[in-house]
Amino acid sequence: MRQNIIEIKDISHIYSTTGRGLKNISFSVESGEFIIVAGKNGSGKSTLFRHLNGLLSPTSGKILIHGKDVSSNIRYARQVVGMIFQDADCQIVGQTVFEDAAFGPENLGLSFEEVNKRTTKALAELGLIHLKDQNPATLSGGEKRRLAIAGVLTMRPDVVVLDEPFANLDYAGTSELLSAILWLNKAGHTIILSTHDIEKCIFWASRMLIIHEGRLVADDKPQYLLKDVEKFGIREPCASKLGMNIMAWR
Amino acid sequence: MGRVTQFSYRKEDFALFQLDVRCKIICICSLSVAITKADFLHLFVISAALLWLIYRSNLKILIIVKELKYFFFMLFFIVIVRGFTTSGEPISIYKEIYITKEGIIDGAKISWRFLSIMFMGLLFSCSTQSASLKNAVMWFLKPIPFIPEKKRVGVMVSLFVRFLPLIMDKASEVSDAQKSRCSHLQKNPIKRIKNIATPLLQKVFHSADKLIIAMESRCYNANRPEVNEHHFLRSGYEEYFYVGTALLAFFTIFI
Ligand SMILES: Nc1ncnc2c1ncn2[C@@H]1O[C@H](COP(=O)(O)OP(=O)(O)OP(=O)(O)O)[C@@H](O)[C@H]1O
Ligand SMILES: [Mg+2]
Repeated sequence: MRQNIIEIKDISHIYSTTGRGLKNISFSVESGEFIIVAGKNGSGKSTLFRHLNGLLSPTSGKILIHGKDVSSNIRYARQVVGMIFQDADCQIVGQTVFEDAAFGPENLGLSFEEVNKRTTKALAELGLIHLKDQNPATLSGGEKRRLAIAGVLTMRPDVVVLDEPFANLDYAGTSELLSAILWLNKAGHTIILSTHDIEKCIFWASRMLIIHEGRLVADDKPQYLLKDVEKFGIREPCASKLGMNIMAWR
Repeated sequence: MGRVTQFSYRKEDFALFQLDVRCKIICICSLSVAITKADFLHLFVISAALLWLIYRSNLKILIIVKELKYFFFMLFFIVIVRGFTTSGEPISIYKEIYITKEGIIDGAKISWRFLSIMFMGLLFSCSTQSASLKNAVMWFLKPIPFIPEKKRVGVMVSLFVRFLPLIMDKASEVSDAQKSRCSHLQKNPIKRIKNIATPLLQKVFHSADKLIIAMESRCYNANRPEVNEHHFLRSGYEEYFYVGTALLAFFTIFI
């Protein structure tokens, strides 16, 4: 049996200002899965993700990572769960590409050599090493996303969480990012990815969760859910609409 | 999308960029003091030196002028105000409205001093990484007693310079968005400032929030162990800059 990395036990989080948020969500994540979290704008995807590494704490319920409670092991949770945010610009911390990718391991207090080694490796793996001295603001949208991934890879996470990674990317940017994500999954990282456009990654996903108005309304293999998604404001992939089998997006 | 202004840090193959940060700070402080006493001749020499550095740093003068256009308005404003308020030989500019020659000259001198200091700031911010600035601030604070949290001060200073480009970037984004809806037709300057400032502040705080969340999510805390805490890299050019600065300061103050 594969082991559960993340266990979410009946969490709720209501924003006091708007009264919206998450309501009674439970599920668990096994090592090596590729999960799509789908839902329309405002359904609560980002709110859910922020709970996974302790940026938000649930108003009720509990989240366990490798059996440890997130709220009392925040540093551990942030190292195990690497998070890529929706807004590519606002997560750039360093003034050069290298400095940005090195930010996480420096915070972890690793030695100078170790930080350098990990950063160089991650930048090379994501095809950014030739840009290492550039100012991150000059990168293209796709390169910024890959830099964000490099920035969490240096912390050696087990799970990589990506919030709307394909937003604002063109065709080339999307396919490069997609192959980076698939490579991560192959290398043994568990992937959790949110999107309102499931077409691009549904072929590879091993599981799909649908969030609707703060509730988890479906949790199954993607192929079983395709005919239901439009009820929740998510577009059904073309191939499925036409009655064909889902093919790899490219 | 994030734009790079002339103020953003960059990597260049020029001595200024490899200079020990402490040396840069010492040079800037002593020149700034000297500039408060500078006359036109001194300002001319100092500006020539700064312009040479700007040229060697691959900064683009025209773009700088564009990015600093409001700053130039302010300088112009200083000249005008001085012209009206200083007593001296009156010159009529329009019917009964007079300004004084002494005022204009005085205002020009003050503006030029401001401009030189702005140029130094520009050179500093485009050539200095915020991490090394933080180390330098901590180094300077070390001998001073009564400041218990030197690291925190260092972190604050480096965060502040990190946010400056963000603010500049957002400001140009907001003003572009408004210009494309004909904001330039608005004649009332107070309304114009309000129109820019409200969304700008909102945006800045919002992005600052997001940046902090992103930093936190990568395990940031103020006490983060520093990797190269006490390594100040010397480039070997420090002496030239010390001597150059000393000469300029001596010339300005005593000649
Ligand atoms: N800081 C906040 N304060 C109050 N309400 C909030 C806050 N953040 C989000 N919300 C509300 O909570 C709900 C869920 O927001 P969330 O950002 O998680 O949605 P999302 O699924 O990520 O949407 P999108 O696809 O637009 O990113 C929304 O209705 C939103 O208005
Ligand atoms: Mg979201």
